[in-house]
Amino acid sequence: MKLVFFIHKDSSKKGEILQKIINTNFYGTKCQIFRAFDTLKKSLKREIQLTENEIFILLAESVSRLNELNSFIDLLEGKRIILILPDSSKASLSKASKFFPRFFTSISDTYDDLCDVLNKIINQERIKLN
Amino acid sequence: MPKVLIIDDDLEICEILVKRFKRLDHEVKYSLTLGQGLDKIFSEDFDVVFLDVNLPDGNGMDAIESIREKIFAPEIIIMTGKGDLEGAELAMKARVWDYIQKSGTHKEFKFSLIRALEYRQQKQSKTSTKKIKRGAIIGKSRQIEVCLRSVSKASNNDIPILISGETGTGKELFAKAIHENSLRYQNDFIVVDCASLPEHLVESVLFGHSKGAFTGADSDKIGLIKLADKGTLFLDEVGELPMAVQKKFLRALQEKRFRPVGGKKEISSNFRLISATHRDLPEMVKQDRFRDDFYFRIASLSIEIPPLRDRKSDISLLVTYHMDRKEKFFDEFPHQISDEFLKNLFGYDWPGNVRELLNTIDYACSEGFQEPMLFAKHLPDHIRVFNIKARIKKHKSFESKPDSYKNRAPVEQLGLKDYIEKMKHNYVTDIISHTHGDIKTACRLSDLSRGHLYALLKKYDISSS
Repeated sequence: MKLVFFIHKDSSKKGEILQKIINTNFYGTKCQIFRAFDTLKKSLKREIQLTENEIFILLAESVSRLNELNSFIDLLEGKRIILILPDSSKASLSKASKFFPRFFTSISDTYDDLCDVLNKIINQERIKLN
Repeated sequence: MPKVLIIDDDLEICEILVKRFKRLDHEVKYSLTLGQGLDKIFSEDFDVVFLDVNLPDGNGMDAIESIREKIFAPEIIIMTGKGDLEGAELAMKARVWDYIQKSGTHKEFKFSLIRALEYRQQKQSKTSTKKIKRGAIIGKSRQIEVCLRSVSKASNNDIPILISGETGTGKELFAKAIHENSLRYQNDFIVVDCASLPEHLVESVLFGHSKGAFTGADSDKIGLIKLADKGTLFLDEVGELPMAVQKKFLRALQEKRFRPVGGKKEISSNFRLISATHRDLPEMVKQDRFRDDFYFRIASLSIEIPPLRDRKSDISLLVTYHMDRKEKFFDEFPHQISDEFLKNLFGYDWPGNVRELLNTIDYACSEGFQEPMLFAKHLPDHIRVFNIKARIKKHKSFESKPDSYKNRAPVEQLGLKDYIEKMKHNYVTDIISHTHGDIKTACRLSDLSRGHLYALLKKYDISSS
């Protein structure tokens, strides 16, 4: 099980908080963090680990970031995605639905629900492997 | 069973019509006001609505336009107490099915209803023959064709669909295809991954919540059911939905209305439900681990997606599709596929189904990186080991089989024509070997003419000496 985070280098405080949460809550789980679109795109193409299930947690702290993610939605087809949205407006939610996310939350929420969802997925994966 | 709604403020007329139409084996409901009637129309799927003109809370004619906006809108038959020519003209211009007087005979009501239902059926079968958009569903096997016919059927109506199949068979692709081919395609397709949601979150994620509903609910939050309004809600891994939530969801599905967590008012959502599972839901129902009423409601139409091992003839197409896609979207180095590579793919059992196949192709491309041709050595070890073991096992059982079993062609890799050719080749080899090259005996045993036998020997490059 691998958690692949996208936290853009310019995502400011919300990104920093998410980074801290990853470090404290998912210690022992394989995590990878991308801070630019180019490197994320490259990773989507390479580093194939056959036995590894990946979840992509994408932070879109602004509408423009969400639009940028939307521009390479084809590359994310078939991936398990969790989205952190800039707001809970109908427009953002509608854009989010095009990613067919497993779960989404917004930056105004705490990350508690996100952690609960990720922990459940990780536990299920452990049960499956045992 | 066709569903009929009567909207009339005269209780006696409603009761008479309910009785008559029930005798025709239809499900019939009635409303005494326009408001209640419209609520029913938008929360349930009716085939025909008998609509009175003068109702206590409005004019039935004014409601025609809004009823027609509904996806799979019912046919409307206007009922009036008096023969009003102008009203009849207006109704026909509004493209209602019929305009009848309440004083009409039983036959008039019955035939108008029957004809409306026939027309509706014809309309549905017409759309069912249209070519469907397959999306990323790849395959030409008979099993896939059967599933696609079900997709077509499912997209021509609005009933709840249950898609079942092993993990990795592509249930979500089929759900998306149903949505894309339905009248709801311009609206959202909302995924709910029931397996990923912790129990305490499911309810608020589905139904939404109001500010202050629980600790941490700092603002109102829209739920996924509401988000799927006018579109499709896809409940993935529905077998993991907690029993308590199943009960609440069942009501939302039937009434198309629900109350967000901590909310005071009910809200509505006109969503279409598609569910998917890899579990045996009927067995779960028997074990009281899944509600039977919920199961019967979500499985109005069931589609079973076959595992990849049962449709191996689709493997080549899936590989080609995936490699083309990789080349197009990822600018990947183009690879050719060797026969032995493909042979190994055919030989494997694919417990992880299509998902495992596509991951395997990704892995092989990565292993082959800039080599022009992919060989078996580029495949993951477990697939090669599986094939080698299967070959050894086959060889051993082949050794113990009678001669007639030897040299049999692998049926899963050949079409009938090639298979027959291969067997013909084997037969000629065997007969020449058996007769030690004695052409006369070979002709007698095979019932072939000398000329025909020589032609076959030449064709297959077999020496009689």
